[in-house]
Amino acid sequence: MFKNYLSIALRLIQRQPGYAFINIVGLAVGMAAFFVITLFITDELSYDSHHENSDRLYRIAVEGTTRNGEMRTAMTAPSWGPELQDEIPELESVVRMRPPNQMWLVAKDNLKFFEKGFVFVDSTAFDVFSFDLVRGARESALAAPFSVVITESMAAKYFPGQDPIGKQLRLDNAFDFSVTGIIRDLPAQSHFKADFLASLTTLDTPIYGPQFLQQNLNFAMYTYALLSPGAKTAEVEGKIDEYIVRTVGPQLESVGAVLTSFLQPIESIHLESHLDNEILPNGSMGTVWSLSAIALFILLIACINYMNLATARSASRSREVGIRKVLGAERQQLIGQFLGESFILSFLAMLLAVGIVLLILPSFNSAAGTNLSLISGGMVAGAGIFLGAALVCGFVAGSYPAFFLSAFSPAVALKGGIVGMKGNGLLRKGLVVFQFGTSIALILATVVVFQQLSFTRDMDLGFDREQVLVVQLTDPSVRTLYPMFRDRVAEIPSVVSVTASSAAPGFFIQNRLVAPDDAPQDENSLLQGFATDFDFFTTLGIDTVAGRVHDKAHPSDSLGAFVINEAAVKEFGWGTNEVAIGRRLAFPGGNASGEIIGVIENFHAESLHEPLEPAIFTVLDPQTYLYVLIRVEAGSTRDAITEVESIWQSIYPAYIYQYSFLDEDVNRMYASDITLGRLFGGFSFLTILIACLGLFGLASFTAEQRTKEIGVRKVMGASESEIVFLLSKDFAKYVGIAFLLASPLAWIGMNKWLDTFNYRIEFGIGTIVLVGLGVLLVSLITVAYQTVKASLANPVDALKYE
Amino acid sequence: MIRLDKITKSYLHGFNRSFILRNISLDVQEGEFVSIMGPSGSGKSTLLHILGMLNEPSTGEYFFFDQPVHKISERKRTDLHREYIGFVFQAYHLIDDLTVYENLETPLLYKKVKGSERKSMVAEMLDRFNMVAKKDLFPSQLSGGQQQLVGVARALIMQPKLILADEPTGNLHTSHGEIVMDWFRKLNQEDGVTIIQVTHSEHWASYGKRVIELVDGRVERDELNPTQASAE
Repeated sequence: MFKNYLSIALRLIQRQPGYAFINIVGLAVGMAAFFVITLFITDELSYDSHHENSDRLYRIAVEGTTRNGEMRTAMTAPSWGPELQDEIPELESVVRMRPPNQMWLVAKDNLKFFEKGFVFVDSTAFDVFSFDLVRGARESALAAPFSVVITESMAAKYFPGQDPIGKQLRLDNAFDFSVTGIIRDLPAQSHFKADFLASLTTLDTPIYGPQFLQQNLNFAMYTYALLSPGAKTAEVEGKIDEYIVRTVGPQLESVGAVLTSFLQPIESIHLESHLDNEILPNGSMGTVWSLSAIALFILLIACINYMNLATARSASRSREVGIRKVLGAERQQLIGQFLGESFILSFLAMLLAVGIVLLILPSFNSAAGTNLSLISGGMVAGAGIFLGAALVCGFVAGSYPAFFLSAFSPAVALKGGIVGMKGNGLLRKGLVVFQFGTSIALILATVVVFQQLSFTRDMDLGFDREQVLVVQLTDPSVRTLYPMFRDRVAEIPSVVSVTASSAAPGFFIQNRLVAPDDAPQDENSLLQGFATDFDFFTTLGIDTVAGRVHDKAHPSDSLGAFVINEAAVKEFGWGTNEVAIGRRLAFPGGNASGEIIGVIENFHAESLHEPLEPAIFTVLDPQTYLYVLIRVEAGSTRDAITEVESIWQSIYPAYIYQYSFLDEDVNRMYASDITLGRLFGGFSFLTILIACLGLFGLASFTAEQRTKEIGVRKVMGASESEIVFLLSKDFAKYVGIAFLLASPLAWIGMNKWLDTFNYRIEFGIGTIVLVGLGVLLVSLITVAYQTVKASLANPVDALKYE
Repeated sequence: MIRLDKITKSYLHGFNRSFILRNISLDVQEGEFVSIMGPSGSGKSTLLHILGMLNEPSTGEYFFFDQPVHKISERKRTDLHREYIGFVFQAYHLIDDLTVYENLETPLLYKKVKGSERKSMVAEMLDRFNMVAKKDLFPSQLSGGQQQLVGVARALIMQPKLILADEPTGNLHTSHGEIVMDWFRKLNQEDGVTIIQVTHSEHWASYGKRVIELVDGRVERDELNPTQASAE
């Protein structure tokens, strides 16, 4: 029996290759999209689940209000961890972790690499996290200062063919660590990167300055806690809050801040935590949800193709149903046959889909910044999902013809008498409308994402981001020699100007509490703080609106002379820019204060998702500079890069030359938006492709069904163009209805997304109408081949056919 | 074998009910060879479909081997017709995508006959109808007459007690038609298979022993075939 069905299915493919092609390819493309998204989502959802006790493993985070508004940070103070563990019994184990600010230079003799995964951790790390120690002693590996445990791949990188245990690694050309253990590599699905675990006791030495580990109000440490089984998070949070009030309460009060703690389940961090100072850029639940929806829609659209084409062909299949019933087939057997056929097709489609996935995964990975692979971890689960999807698709796609066709009484079926059935046509139209509605919505979303992105790209940020080379000063000893580096770079003919700063657009910017001298006690404002070299504003092309900026000619400018932006003038409520000149500002708590010498135009140092912040600029000593900014003449960028590099090599032979372009750094702030745009773009292309495949097939069957009508009309004198119009009209109508249904939904959804930007486009009727017309055009071109063919046919042939 | 009692079949057309069959009462004994005649639209095919349980009457009673067909479940009806009835159609109604062999095999599959037995039954049929050489051809590769022989062979393969033939020779050349009708006669006389055929033509009707003529859904004439009667 099965062989009988199988041969029918295979012969149908042979006999109607076009039909089979549309079905299988459409379904395969849909499944491939579904598979890729499934891989992505499982990857996103699996973050940090590899820790054995992940269900009671939490990160301690802090939220609260200061006078300048709310703060929510993933970081805690260094002294908290051990003290909390001592006094709260529910904390089974606590570990502190300190990743690098940017990266560390790690060296083994002449092998030198910048490493982002060099983290300092307490020796309790092995109790809290599931690090798989393959060499070394769990208790002692991280006990002594300057010990480091490395991953297997780092062992292979720095000690190829050697035993690393007991050997030295040099950090930052200054600190020697001895390797005390080896762990297996961490899964990529971890919210922190750890290739080197260095003993936290090392930080008692002045890597981060003296007394670093005793600081109780410097949020510079990540603290994780393993709760004892059955412990209630709310109670623990309460006890941590008591601790905060008791230890740093008075200090907080003096700056008008109120802080409370909260525990973040470790598995939720990657998708749900969006605090300040996240270790790595996190994913978002929104992306997971919208991609899940897209995956289902694409799959559904592909299934609908199958249903549509199958029902369109039901006239020719119904005779077979009649015969089989006469020969003694029961309804269930016919249902089985149609479902079986559809399972065979969907299984073939699945095989093809796996091939497509292998083909498109690399481009998906580069678009989404992921590292997905078909042959990763959950192969069995993956195969299960694939087979499951094939079965569900086969069932959904085959169910309509199966249950619909098998229900006919044999006498009716034998006459092929269901051609004119109304219900069948209505459902088909509804499905087409659904397909095109989805396509239109997705395309609209893509267009809006790209419009917003190009808006952010082209928007005047208040500074000139082109032609600026950014060189990182990763290390204190590098920073010490900065003046020499600067002066030599300035001599390069193609270099317009050189400066340095503690912060640059696209990089992390520290906020400082600032208050005017005459302000009442405790009334501080939070300003973006920039420690800059001279020429900062000329290099970035930022205009001065009042007073003057720092100038080498005024020696006093490097001692307490401030430049602020217009937003800061507004923040302090000074009315006009001129009023600000000569006013004095101070950093509360510290002794630094100075006079405002100038006001500059606002510029966007952070992404346009963020509001424009007030900022303060002061010239400080080179140890505060992290980035050298070099403006280069247009056209000589390449030469400048190499010349700067050779200067770097001669001054800093021990350090790696790391540069980027300012415009790239700025664009990187929109990385997740760009990813979103690319994904939407790719998947909406697939959706419209599948929908058009289906439409093409449907158009051919409609033309076939209406052959007689077309023949009669032609005999009556209808012209070819009138026939084309007649046939296209229906399809245009479906697209029109789809457009009316989908565009309001897309409009609402995309406005929501745009609201996440502080500076956003308004998208109006124009965009929507353009997309609608575009889809209409594409669909008419799709059906054109069939309609023109039908209109050119000889009417005599058409009428003979009956 | 068959007893019809006051069978009617009607359809609603708007507010009008149009009758295809009116009060047909009929008995057919095992071993009969009946020809149903009548002009187009007289209800011949409908009557045949009702006899074959492909269609249900609007009112009236139908007994098949004393089973009340009008009352029993669809499943049971399928069993009855699987077991006892073979069909032959004017348009042959072979499955285009199956070979001759597979077409013959299909009813056996639905009857869940075992593989080895199936093979020998199909082989026997092919042999009987001299079609062994054609067993791997598709219907479209056969002439009309050959297709209809496959149709007859398919109807016979389940060894039915009753063959219902709806204008079996309607699409055939006369010479091919003769072959098919000779088969029917042979089956009727040698194997005792009951045959009810619908036909337009006096010539084909004359193969039957009994002729029923329908006009406007009524039995107009029901008599033994004079030529057949004299031949016996």
